[in-house]
Amino acid sequence: MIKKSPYEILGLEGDFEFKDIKKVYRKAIREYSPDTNPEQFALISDAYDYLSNEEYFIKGIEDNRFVLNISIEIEESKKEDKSRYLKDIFEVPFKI
Amino acid sequence: MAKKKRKTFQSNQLLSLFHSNNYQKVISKIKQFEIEGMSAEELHKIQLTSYEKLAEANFESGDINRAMRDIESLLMIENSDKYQLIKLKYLCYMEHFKDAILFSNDLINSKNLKIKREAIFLYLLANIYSGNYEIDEKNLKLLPIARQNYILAFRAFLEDKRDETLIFFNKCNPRAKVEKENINAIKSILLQEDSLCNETIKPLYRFLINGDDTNLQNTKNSRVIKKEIISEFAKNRKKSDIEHLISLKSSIPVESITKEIKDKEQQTRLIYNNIVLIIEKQKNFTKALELFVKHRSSLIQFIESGILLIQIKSLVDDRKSDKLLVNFFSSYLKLHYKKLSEFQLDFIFIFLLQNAQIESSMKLIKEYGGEDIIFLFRGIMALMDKVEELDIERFNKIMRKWSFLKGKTLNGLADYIDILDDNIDNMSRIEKEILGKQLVQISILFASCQQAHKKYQSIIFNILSSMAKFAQNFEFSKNIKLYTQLAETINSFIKIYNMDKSDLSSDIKTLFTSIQKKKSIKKEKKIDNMNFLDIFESMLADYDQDEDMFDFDRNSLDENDLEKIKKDFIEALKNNKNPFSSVLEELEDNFYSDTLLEFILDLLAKAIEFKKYDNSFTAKLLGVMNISMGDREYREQLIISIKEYAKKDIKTAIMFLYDAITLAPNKDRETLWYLKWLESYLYLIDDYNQPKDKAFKGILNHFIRVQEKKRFKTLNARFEKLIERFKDKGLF
Repeated sequence: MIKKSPYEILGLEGDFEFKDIKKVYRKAIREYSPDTNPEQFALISDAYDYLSNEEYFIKGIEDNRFVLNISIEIEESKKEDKSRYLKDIFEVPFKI
Repeated sequence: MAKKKRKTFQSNQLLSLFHSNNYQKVISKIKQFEIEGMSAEELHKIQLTSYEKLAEANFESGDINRAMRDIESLLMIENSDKYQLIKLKYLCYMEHFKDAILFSNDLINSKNLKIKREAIFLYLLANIYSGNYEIDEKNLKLLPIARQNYILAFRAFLEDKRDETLIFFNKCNPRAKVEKENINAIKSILLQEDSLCNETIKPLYRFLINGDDTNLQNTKNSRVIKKEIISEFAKNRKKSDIEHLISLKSSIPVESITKEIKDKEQQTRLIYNNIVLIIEKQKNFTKALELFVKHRSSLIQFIESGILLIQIKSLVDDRKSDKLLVNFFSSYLKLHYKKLSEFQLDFIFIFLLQNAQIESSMKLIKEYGGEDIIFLFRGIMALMDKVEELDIERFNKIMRKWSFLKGKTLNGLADYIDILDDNIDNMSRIEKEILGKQLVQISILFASCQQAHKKYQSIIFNILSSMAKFAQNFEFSKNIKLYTQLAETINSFIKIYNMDKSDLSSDIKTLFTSIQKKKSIKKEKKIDNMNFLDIFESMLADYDQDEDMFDFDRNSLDENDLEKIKKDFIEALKNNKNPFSSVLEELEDNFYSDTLLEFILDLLAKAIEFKKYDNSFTAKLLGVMNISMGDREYREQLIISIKEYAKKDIKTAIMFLYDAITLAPNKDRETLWYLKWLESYLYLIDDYNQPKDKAFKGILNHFIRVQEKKRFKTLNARFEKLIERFKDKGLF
């Protein structure tokens, strides 16, 4: 199963330490309570369990593949007017 | 000089070429040979059709020059309006509009209305394309409304009158569905809208919609335009690929990522996700590994990369990349060590010890404080020769704090001892002695444990049980220290875990009995209260072994003793007394003799005869004689004897077959045995009309599944032969 990186779900980036995981987890669950944000809360809890619980971690390795967050936007391709080519190449829509 | 006679070609051969649509050859043969057996009229018709079909095929494949050449050849032999119209069409498609205008003059006046209309249509278009927007209204009116509107729309389009163009195209409503679709395609090109293309859309429209240049006429203009449009479509396609990757729909070629995405950080993230998608969606683990290895120096920046590499390596059998592991994890740990939990580190360490070069792995693991894992792997698992104070400290430290991974690693010791136990008979005396000493040291180490986490209990007793079973391979009188030390260790853990002795495994209980009786007791397999099918099903569930050989010593046996035992045995059966007399125990030293094996079979046959035989009878008899249930020779003898007994008593033969199957221990369930059982079954079913029971079907299916999967070369010929025999008898 493809899942988001547990580190990124918890907002862990840069030069953090293992002990910081608990801190960010606590902060995150305060922000996303199970009543108001049940889905986000479940994601956060799952990510924390994976990073802090050995048996959960082993099971997660077997079942899951984690992907990273991508923050690029693809410019919508400019639509070129190709109708001018109709003037240069002969074609008719009818069977002749 | 006489004229040289042309070679001939048979008409039927020509017709054969014609009917197989080989028109080029038809024309070539007509040119080269005199066709025999065909009238001039018929030949002319074939020639015309061949040229026409060739021209059409070349036109449709986009080769307008060849199409024109064919139609010119056709016109040489028949200059009709029908073929001239085709030439007019080709002139237009070749963009030779001025020639087309000139060439159309005669056709416009054709008496054939259909041809006249087609010619007018092409003539008007050729005028527009050549820059003359004046439309001959009189001729225009002769065309169907749809074509009139198309001409008007196209003129407006060439004059850049967009609104007018669309008005006329909207009015252009041909009857044929294909033509309607083509008008819609033109409109979508004009409006720059997305449109679906199918096979009926004309090549130019399809090309402008999706860049597919199949069958587009090969003209000077089309060649120029192709270059421009194809590169534009390729660019858009790459963007669309990236979109698919971002939305995790599919993996894409890495080149697209590196070319399209300039931001290095995002580029690496996309490559990482791409590898994940290659694993999950494509299931191409080798490709995932190749990409990871290629981009490892940039992927390493992500803490997630370490586990990803381990995941990939577990999916693909590749020794080449093992060399890179220590280097990768050396850099990885430098970057991420502080971010990792102890169990994550242990996980990486275990992976390295199992996959990478051992010395450099150990150096790296020590650098990052992984001595516990090294101790479990290289110390305990290697069965230490001498226990040092440091080992005791480390073992106690490990045992106090529960770790799932360390427990799992420690449990490997039980498996290792079981393997040694299975192979002990193949070892030399010196090897056995060393093992005995090592076992004492391990026992001392375990006994040193002061405190052990509750979660280690099952693992510890699993190991102790394996050790207790293994100890029975050593003669008690010469290895008292081994037995007593092991018992001391077990007692120490019974105390730590406050256990009831009745809950101990049978191997541990047997060890205590050995100490009491001052003799080693060989392990026997219990099959109490299990019926045949239960045992068989459990055997199938655990099947995973194939090769395992045992050698046995053969000793002589006094046949007079056996006669007496047999007589007593029969007497006991007749009188409903316990037939397993104490006399039988004395046979222990001789139990691998051929004579004894035959003797046992005789006893079993007697038990069957006196109706005293049940599922556990054989086990009891062998147990009392201290014969292992896994004894290959005994099972082999059972198989051999089936045929012999079947002649006298089919019931006994069947019992023997069931015994041969159920007595096979888990570790000894090779495919070869299945084959032997099946051959016996075949014999009983075929020659004695025995029914195909559930067990037979189970064995047959299992055997076929295993053999088809593993393709054991040594068994294949017998396997094929067996299947053939089953088929012959209608049993398969």
